[in-house]
Amino acid sequence: MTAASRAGIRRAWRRGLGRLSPLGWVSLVVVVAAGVVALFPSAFAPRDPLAIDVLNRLKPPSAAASFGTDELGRDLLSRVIHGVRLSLGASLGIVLLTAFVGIPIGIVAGYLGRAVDTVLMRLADMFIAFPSLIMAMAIVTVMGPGLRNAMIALALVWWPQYARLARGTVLQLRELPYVEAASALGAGSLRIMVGHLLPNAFTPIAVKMSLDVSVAILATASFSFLGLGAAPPSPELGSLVTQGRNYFLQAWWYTTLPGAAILLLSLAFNSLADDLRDLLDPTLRY
Amino acid sequence: MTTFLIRRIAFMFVTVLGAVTVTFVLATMVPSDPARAALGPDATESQVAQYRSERGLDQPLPVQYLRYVGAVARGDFGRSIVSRTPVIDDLARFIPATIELLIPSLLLSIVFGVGLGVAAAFYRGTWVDQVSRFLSLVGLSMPIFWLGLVLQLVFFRALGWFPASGRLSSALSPPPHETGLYTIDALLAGRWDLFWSAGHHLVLPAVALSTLTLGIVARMTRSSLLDVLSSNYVRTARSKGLQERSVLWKHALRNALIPIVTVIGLRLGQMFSGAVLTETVFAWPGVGRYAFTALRQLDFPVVIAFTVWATFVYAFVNLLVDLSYSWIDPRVRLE
Repeated sequence: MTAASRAGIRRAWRRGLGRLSPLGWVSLVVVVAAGVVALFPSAFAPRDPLAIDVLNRLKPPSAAASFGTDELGRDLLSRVIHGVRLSLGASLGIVLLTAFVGIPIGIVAGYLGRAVDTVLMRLADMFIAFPSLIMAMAIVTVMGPGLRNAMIALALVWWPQYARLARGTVLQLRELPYVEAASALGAGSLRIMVGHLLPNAFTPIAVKMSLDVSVAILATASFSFLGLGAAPPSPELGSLVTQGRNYFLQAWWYTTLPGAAILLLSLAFNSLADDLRDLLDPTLRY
Repeated sequence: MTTFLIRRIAFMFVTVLGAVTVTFVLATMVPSDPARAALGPDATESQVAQYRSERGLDQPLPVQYLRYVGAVARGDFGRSIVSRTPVIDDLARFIPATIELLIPSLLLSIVFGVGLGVAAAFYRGTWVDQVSRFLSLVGLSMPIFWLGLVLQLVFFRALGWFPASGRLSSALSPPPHETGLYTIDALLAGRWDLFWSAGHHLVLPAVALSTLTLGIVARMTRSSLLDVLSSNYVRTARSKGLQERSVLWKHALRNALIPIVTVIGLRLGQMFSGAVLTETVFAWPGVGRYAFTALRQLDFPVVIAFTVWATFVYAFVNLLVDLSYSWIDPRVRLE
């Protein structure tokens, strides 16, 4: 990382927390709490998420089980807590994987230009023109349902967004004197792309990644809801909503509470990312 | 203009060809044998072999691919492996239901999204702006399948205001088929009871499907309008004494429209997958639910046909969006 960008981050940080909106603060608390819970679910879950207790089936929320119980008497709060770990892990995984595929393609296309650029970007345009989630559903079905395959499928359809963004940024950076200087000093293409372009192209990409976490949370949950992601008895949040759907007229809490957890998580990431975007780069707009 | 159209239409067909290719490749990767799947476990080896040679399934993959692309180009998507009916007939049966769902939810998200965004820009920095921002974030963060279930719980189970599933009350039979959209067909037949029932069934799924787009439209409206409101001609309009209301709606909004229209067009692709979720939750007999069921049964002729249809509609709508630029803003030239 260059000194300029380090100083930039320090400056953003100093101004940053002071300039978070009240909603941003609440979101930050939710995100940090969700992160801690996701890292140590067993420390927070009152019971084993898989422990069956048939005498206490479908009990409404009470002092003993604050989120109620499911059709096998499992404690719903414990299942939601472990679900946060699965959903959050999968979503971060999707965003990282997508960025990992898309960014190198974008940088290569932007820096090398010419035929490489044309071919890669036409391919990207085509993927962008597909209804992406429909395509991802088809890919998951073929690969076999499961959280891991859902992650791969989403990365396969979403990479062009990162490639386009990285390419656009690199096209601007490529013309700057420091790239020319590096090239004049004998740095090869690879060195310039990895050492100089990647770190300096990172701000808009980081903003996009933070915005995409919540998109990924919703996609993961939707895939699990449709039976393409995590399968029962896994407590992934979307999968919990599906499991509760069979009982939802008599046990409102079973679908409602895990779904509310999805909404809360995705809302917190969205509003935090929104503030982050304003702080890091006020000119960006999505 | 002409070259623009030619280029865009060519790209549209390349995109659809890409969609066919990707789904074809996926179909060949499925471990199950399509001939065996079509004939069932009781078929003899020779029946399976005969089926293969009749359908060209014993040919090399590139040959199969070219034949398939040729068939799709003629509008022949083959037969569903599960129902054995021509896929094109099934699509024709299910697509109207999806269109009937998509149009009201798109209208809901445009009317409320633009309204929310205009209010936020107009009352920038006040509590109105904050509330609007929060509502649009909630819209953006909404798991729509869950919202659908909650709406059913509240408005069907608890309040009994709206039906939970289907397109019509079970006591009624559908209106005579004209467009396939029950509300319109009911009006054409002059049947107010049918129109009421169809509209009544539409409310909850349309609301559920509209939330994400509503949030995005509201945000885009706000930021695009704020850009425009700081421009010189808006200052001129204000300084010549125009009412703020007229500056906003007549001068600013029209110029802020291009990014809003763009984002609506781009949202359509996501609304197809939203339709899969909504139709599943509300037992809505649309093409999304049909295609998804087919997907689970590895009924690939149906899946490919649906993907091609969705890609085509998406590309076509976005072409219309691009064409609308020069109508919205006559300075825009399409080249």
